[in-house]
Amino acid sequence: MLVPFNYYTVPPRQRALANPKHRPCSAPLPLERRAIHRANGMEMVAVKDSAISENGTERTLYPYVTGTSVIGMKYKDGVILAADMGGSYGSTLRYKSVERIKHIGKHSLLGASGEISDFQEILRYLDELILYDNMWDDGNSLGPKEVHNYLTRVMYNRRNKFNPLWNSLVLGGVKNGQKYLGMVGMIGTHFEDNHVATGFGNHLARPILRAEWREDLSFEEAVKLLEKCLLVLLYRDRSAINKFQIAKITEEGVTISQPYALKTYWGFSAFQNPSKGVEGSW
Amino acid sequence: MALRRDWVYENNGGTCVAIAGSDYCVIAADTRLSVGYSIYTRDYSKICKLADKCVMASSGFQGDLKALQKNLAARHLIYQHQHNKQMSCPAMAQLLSNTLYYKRFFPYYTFNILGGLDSDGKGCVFTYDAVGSYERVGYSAQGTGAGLIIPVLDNQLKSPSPLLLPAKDAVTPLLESEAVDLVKDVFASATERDIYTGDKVEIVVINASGIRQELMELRKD
Repeated sequence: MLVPFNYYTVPPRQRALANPKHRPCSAPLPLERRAIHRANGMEMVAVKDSAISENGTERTLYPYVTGTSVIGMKYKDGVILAADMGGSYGSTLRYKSVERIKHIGKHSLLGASGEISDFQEILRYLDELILYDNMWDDGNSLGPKEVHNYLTRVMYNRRNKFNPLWNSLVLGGVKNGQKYLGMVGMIGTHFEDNHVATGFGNHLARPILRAEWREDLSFEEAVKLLEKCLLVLLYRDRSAINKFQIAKITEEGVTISQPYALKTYWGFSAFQNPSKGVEGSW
Repeated sequence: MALRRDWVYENNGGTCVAIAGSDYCVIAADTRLSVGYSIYTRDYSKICKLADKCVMASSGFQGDLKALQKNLAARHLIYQHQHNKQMSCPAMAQLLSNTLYYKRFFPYYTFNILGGLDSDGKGCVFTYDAVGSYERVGYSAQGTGAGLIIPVLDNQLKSPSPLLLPAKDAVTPLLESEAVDLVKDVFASATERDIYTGDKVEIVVINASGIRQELMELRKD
């Protein structure tokens, strides 16, 4: 029902949440979520016209299902991206076949970490963008630079509306012999570089890339280097899983690999007895 | 209880310095883009040419910084179509102030310095806070390394008090090459102690013959 502006009534669900005693007894909310809802409830009492529509909508104030790091780099013939296929529900490994690398238009590859549903919404935006660009039928097509810029504006716009898309995105591509690799963060921070990595990858993979990356890496060398990074992430990032996809894009087109696993070795003595030889009471 | 909205900002660090001389202006900024203890990239230019004789160096939140640059570029394009000339540096300075104040209650988290030549061809530097208050000065530093650099510039350049009557020119007595060397020194020093400053410094020099740019390597740790 459409409610006239000045006669706003608190919807039943939110009224229940505003009064903690009335909260329906479903699964208990996480602590920080309760705080946010109560804050909404308090605000509703004081707020008038302008914030009405604001209270009626939900925002992504915290993510639900998330993907972990994406890494990407340029190599001799193009750009290569890698990510695992895990989808975590908090610390629970909920999904194990999430495709987090997708190709966009003719010349771009997009990898995403963060909220999976927001990533899928971004894919819908991009599908529309590419479709409408295609309908000009002028022989032009959006390149990686344009797509990256578009994503940059979408992410920044949403943060300006206090309604962010909870992702870190990596965009790679080749057009007219020009390689392109860029990143966009949740609030619109963006840049280009020869190699990039999101989340834990920025801590664990990029130091390796800085030491070993070269412009003239062959495809085989590039895959080897990426797998080295993925293995480190697998060992040290608890939400990383041993099921990866590697994707490349060159002037010839896009190839996204079938899911595959890396060989791990857990027999290191430091893994078996991590506190052996450590000074202290535990 | 108010909703926490601190997540809409990020401090990506960076330091900007500018020095005005009688017939030149030196503007510089490092090229590191970081967040917390991590570095996003070592090669991000924070300097933006807004008009023929007007350059802006910015630090703070990269998203806002880029939005501000795009906004000013668009406004300058309109100005050119309407007036068929380039905007002067003092005019751009006022526009930048208004643009920042326009977002007074949801600010651009950016710390800017505008440098260039005024209509008399004299070097000018304008220094800002995030919400648009600004002042024309002889030299300035902004950003994460400003606290380390300002005292050195004060010591080396001794600008006349703005309280003096009649007002004295704030331009520095240094030669252009001396100013460039001073900028190199203060960046090398700030890089030693400020983790958000480093990698490279981009130095832009504006004088009667045009705009020149140079790069100097800094510590990468």
